[in-house]
Amino acid sequence: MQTPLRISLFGGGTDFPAFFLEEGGCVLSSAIDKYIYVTIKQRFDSKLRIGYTQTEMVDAVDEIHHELIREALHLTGINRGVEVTTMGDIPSEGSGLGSSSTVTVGALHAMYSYLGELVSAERLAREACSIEIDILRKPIGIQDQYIAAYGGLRFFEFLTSGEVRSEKVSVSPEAQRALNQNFMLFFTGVSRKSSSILQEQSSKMKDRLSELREIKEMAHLARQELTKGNIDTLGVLIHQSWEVKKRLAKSISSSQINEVYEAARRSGALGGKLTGAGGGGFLLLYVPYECQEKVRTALRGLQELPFRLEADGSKVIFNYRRT
Amino acid sequence: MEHIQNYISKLQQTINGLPRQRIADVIDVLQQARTRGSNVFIMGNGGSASTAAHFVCDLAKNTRQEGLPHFKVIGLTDNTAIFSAYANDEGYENVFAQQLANLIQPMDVVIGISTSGNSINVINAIEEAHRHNGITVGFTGFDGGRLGQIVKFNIHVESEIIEHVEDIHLMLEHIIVSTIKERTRAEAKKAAPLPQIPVSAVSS
Repeated sequence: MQTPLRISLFGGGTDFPAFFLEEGGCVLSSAIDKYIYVTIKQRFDSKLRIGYTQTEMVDAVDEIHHELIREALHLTGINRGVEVTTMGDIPSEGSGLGSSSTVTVGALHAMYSYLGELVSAERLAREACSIEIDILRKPIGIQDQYIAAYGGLRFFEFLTSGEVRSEKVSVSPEAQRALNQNFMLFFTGVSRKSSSILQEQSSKMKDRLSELREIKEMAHLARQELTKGNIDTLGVLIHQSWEVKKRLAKSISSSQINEVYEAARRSGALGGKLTGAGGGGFLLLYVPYECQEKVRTALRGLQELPFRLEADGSKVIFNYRRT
Repeated sequence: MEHIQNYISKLQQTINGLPRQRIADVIDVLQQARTRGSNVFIMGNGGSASTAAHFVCDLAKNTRQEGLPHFKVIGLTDNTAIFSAYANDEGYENVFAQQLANLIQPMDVVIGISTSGNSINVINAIEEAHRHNGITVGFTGFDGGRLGQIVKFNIHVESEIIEHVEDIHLMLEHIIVSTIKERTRAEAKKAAPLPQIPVSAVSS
């Protein structure tokens, strides 16, 4: 199973149930061509083997430490005799590319395929939300699960009723090319757990309503500009949105990250943001092509991750069963 | 006028005798292939070649639904270059089997359409599919021929009138695709219940 990671462009924070169930939220995000791979295979014996940065070999689902895989097994009803492994294109923790929800969606999808059950992206996303938020009580939003399941460049609306509307943003081939060309990703070198930042963000949510409303407005605006093909405007909007987002919680940025960002701006980046909850992980920059070398020089020391936007969501890339 | 009336009423009779459960089984086989990411290959000669091409088109295009996997369906009748190359060099009986040999994976679905059930190139391809643990389906007529005996799922049209068999083969394709289309729509709508998060749990 190949499930894409994502860059979150606008609206992060408004996808928290505590906010959107009251006010409605929306995000603009895109899947990218970096993935989490989940494999599932029947075992000869009845044990469960889970492989990731560690290897677990257990007799019962409840004994599994990897909580996302454990809960996905519970939900799909697989309880013995399989090996599940995960591999990723990026560091496994704290990248800000939505990896934990990507793992959850990929694991669920792999397990359903193993059972021969056809499931929609919508159902995968919802069930992943249910695992992460209802069961594991993670203080997270619900955008990552949806973009991992659907793929593409999308605008999601989170309605107060709890319903999620997903819309593929239609961009011209030229705009698509420009987006692929102008976005750059750099690893800040800081891996962080998003939960502490998100906890702070959640606890301050009531005092940050005006910021969240502003972020939501900018997401709507960005979608309009994107459809019109005003790509460079998008870069400027990302900058403005990031400035607002930093006010949501102190830990979202740091003086070190602010310095890097300012250096990139001085070299020609129109805008940028940390791709996830903040605190570290990957820094997304919007840089017109002619300034990219300058930005690379200014940010030397940080590892760059070349990438393109990805059209497909979670999908089976190989299935070899003889029975 | 009499011939026209005759054609219609006989065709109706034959349609009434179609094996409905078998059609439903083939629909399940195809849906499972879609879920697995398996390929579907379709072939036939003459009128059946045109039905095969039509089937490929409908199955690939009309079942698409955002958020669900697409069908990976390949026609073996439509590449004139490779078709004629095998016919010329390896014999007409090998035009389908040789194309299949390059592409087939275990559990792929291979559909052969032959009104008589005796087209040797279709039979050879079905045997090639069996060597690779493919799942085979036949659309046949007349007495079903050898194809009807060797495929795993045979949808047999009980008629010895070639036009009627061909008419109904095309209809079978439409029944299958439209049923899958309906199911696909229903599946896309079906979703797990919304996460119910007490607002206090995340905003306190």
